[in-house]
Amino acid sequence: MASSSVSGLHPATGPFYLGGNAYLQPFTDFDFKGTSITGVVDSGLNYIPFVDPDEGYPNSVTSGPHFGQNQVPKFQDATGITVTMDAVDAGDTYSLYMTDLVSGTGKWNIIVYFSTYNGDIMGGGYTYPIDDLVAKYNVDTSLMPPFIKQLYCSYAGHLMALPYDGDFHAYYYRKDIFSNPDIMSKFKAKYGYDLAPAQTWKQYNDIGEFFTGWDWAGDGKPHYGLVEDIKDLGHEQWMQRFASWQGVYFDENMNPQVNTPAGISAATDLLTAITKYAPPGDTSLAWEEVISTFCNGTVPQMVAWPDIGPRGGTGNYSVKGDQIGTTLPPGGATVNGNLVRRSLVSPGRVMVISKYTPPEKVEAVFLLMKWMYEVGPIYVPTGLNGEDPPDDACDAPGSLPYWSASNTAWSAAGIQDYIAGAKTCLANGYPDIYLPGQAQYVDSLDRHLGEMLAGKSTPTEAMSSVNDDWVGITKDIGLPKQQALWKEVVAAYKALGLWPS
Amino acid sequence: MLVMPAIAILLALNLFPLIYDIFLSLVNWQIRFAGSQPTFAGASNFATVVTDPRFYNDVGVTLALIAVVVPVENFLGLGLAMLLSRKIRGSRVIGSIIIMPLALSSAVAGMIWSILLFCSFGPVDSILELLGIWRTCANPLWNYPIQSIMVADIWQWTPFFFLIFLAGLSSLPREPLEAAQVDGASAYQTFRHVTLPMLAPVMGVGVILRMMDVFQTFGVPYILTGGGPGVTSETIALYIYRAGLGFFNLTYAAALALVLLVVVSVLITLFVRIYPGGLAR
Repeated sequence: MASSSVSGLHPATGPFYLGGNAYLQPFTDFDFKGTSITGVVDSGLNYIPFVDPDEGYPNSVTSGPHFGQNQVPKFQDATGITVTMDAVDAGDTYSLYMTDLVSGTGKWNIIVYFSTYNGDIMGGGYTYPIDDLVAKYNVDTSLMPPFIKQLYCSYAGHLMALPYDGDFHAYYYRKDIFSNPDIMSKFKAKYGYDLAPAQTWKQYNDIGEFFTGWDWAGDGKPHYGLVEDIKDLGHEQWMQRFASWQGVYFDENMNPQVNTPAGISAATDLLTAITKYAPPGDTSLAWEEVISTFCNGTVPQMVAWPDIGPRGGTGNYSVKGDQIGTTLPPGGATVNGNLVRRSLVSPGRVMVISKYTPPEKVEAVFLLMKWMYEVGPIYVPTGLNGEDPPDDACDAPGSLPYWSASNTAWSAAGIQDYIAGAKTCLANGYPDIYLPGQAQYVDSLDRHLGEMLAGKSTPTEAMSSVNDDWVGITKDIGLPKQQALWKEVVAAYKALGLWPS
Repeated sequence: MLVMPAIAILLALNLFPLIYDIFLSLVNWQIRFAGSQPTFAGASNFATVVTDPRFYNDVGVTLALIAVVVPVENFLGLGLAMLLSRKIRGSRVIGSIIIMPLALSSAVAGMIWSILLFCSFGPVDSILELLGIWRTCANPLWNYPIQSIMVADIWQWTPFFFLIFLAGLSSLPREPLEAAQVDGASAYQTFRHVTLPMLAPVMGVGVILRMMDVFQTFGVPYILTGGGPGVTSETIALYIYRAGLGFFNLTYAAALALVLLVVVSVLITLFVRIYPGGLAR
């Protein structure tokens, strides 16, 4: 349980409960007045918690229509530290951040980036370890699930980041549709088992098949069985399945492990789902369109990032929050009689201190990270701020009124159901490829999976091509270096029980 | 003497990037790692390029685009210019509307066609289904990606040929045309044997400029299809961008760019040599 002392503030015991301005004390205990720091985050919804030009000041941290957003002015007032926060387009973050770091420009002190860059940014040696700072400033990391702390925010045995946004994958389903007696009996008659949230990828595809091509919604249009985001991050749909088939990206010697039963099963499951049970045009849908496809009732299930529940909670779609169930994505392999079910936690965002930050500014930068982790609004996704819970603080006692205030089409029970699902997913997290060159490895996946989905190759051929590409990429980057870094990552996998026994 | 500073700046802006590109192409440098240093690699980056199937795929995609969009834009641009070179009412207004796509950035053009061709709500899909040409949600961006890029490119760049032909037509000498009329030549014969040969240099320049442009095509493929599915519609410029800024493999991107420079130079030189009548009038 998190500390309840004022100096160890965390949303679990923080501003929601202590009231008044007690939450400010840890930040005013240290004098950095007059220090100027810079930062960068991708633009749009994830910029709003830092800077929300629509909110205006002086809405307090716990009031106003976008409560908790626009933290930079509040932080500046509390600490006397001046913050210049830049926003860059999400698609340009890798090239811009790497250019800044590789060139030694060091324009930004705090960098908020997709955790998929951990291998390049942390593994490339561009971040300050924050173990000592976490201890000095009494940052409570006890609510971070082990996966978040040991893989998402750490590298080579050091804590390097605090989480900013937790993009876990969850399985969403229409509670009302799945509990419709007529639909349930038809499903049972066809498949011989009860209609329920899919526990395996076979069930997921069965449900997809069942709901494809007829009007189960009663609106006069044919509907489909599932939808997934292939266009933006299609490789993640494969990775999600791969994780559940107990796949690991490389063996301990950096030999790719994609051309294995786990990799081929994942590709086969994906091919069946997308080519047979997804709406036509699914492969061209961008993320917002994928959300709309589920939240406007075209499909009854999907595997996607955390946004779905809060989007239903906003009431802006025909499907409301209470109609949406949230649970772990389906499982694949069975180990010792237990179904392996995991949640790909990717991309998400983490906050790090650039190694080019002048020493005298490092702690001021860390204070901003602490503020955004402890005081910021990131634990109450609203569908307006693009934030997803990165740890168990989303379940902070007393946070429910804030969830409800921000999600007016969601009952308390529905919110708690979502939070329970979110925590289960975070507790069973599985990482992206945390190695330098991650962009090249996943580019190969995207290319060959795209060709497979277009009917130009089989799953076996696709995975074989990926395997060959990955061998070449590792050789280009440098096998000894990659092996050394992967060894560190494997150690974390083993500690978390993610490495196949 | 007085122009020396300007020349120096031009040389620096033009020559330095080329020299640095050559340097990068000749080294191995895992620049992503802090503190890494370049080591001389000789021609190994170039050897990788010439054995890279993705390079050949992307050059093939780019050449396919050139083979279709340049002649079509040429033909349509000439036709529009011929129509509007006559004194018809509203020709100035029509001309202004015709050239509007040219004023857009390639990213905006890509976005417009991305929406138009989108199967769920794009109008093109609905109209073609209404006409019985294809079934709903044929998903052209996925199933016909190169063709989708061609359509967007033709829409955006036909005005380029329209403009240069319009200018060319207005600068043609009147006497040969009048002489043809006096000799009893039909409109087609006048066009085929008098106008077209006189426009040949203009056409040749337009074709060369557009060929060079298409080799650099990035915005429309990036927005419209992302080069997918797979690398089905990936142009060579998109691959160079990905290698350089997507993968931070700057040395390989530099080698790709230089090989592309050689390929384009050879093609343009060949074109100039075989072009009927040459480019000088």
